[in-house]
Amino acid sequence: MELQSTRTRDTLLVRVEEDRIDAAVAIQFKDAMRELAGTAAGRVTLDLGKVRFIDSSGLGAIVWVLKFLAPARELELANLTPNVERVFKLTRMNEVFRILPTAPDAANADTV
Amino acid sequence: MPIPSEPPCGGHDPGLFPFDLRLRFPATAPAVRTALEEITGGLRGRICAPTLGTLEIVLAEVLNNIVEHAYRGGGAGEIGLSVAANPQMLSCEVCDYGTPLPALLPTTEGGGTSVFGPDGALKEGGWGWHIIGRLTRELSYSRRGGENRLCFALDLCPTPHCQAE
Repeated sequence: MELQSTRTRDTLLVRVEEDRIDAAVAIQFKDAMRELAGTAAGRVTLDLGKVRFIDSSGLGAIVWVLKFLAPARELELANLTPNVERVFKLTRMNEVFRILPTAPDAANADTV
Repeated sequence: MPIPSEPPCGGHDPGLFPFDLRLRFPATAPAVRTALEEITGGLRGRICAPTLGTLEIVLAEVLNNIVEHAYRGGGAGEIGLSVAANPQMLSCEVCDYGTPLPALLPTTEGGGTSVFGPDGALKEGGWGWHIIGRLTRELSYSRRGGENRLCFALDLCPTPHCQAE
């Protein structure tokens, strides 16, 4: 599970460099997110722009990250592709997450 | 890997038919992923992107249910899958020899699902049958001679024409 992370002043921006978050990688995704975000302060933004497909297990893993960060820290999502957005809407999880249309610009951020 | 261009919604490739893909694979998460990639690879560019997306979502939920529940995640067991297309619809049949479905098929309620589980916390799963019910029609289940057989259909877009590359 390849994740690319960038730290801005108050946000950890994590880009998922995979085209699927599914049952085959859900546990790896949770482990990788725990490691990346476990010590980070502030908000975490998950850029899903490269993820073309998500299933129930992948969605469950993202909800797990939200709960793992709460209550002190927020998880927000960005850049949902059409079929991923569809799964969020079907499960009403689009009402639970803050979802940004595009990922924040990390060009000027300090990469960690 | 570049994704081939998708036909716009509202059509499919008339040269698609007859389409009848049959697969048999082990009941594991990686094998499910490979099967889904094979099916979507065979149909990408030939049916519109939203229908292809629906098919992938539904099949993933059905197949993951079999891996996790019918075979209890043990990794032993096989799944048989067929996807056939005619100009009106995609017909899917999924077979396994795991434990029977515990109850009648869930109803396809239109009211959506709660985001909270019975413990009052946000759910981390349990959406599978809700998704399947919402996205399919003619959903049926039978159990015969130790075999579970689940059938369902998805509508194809009505226009027998598309810009498939």
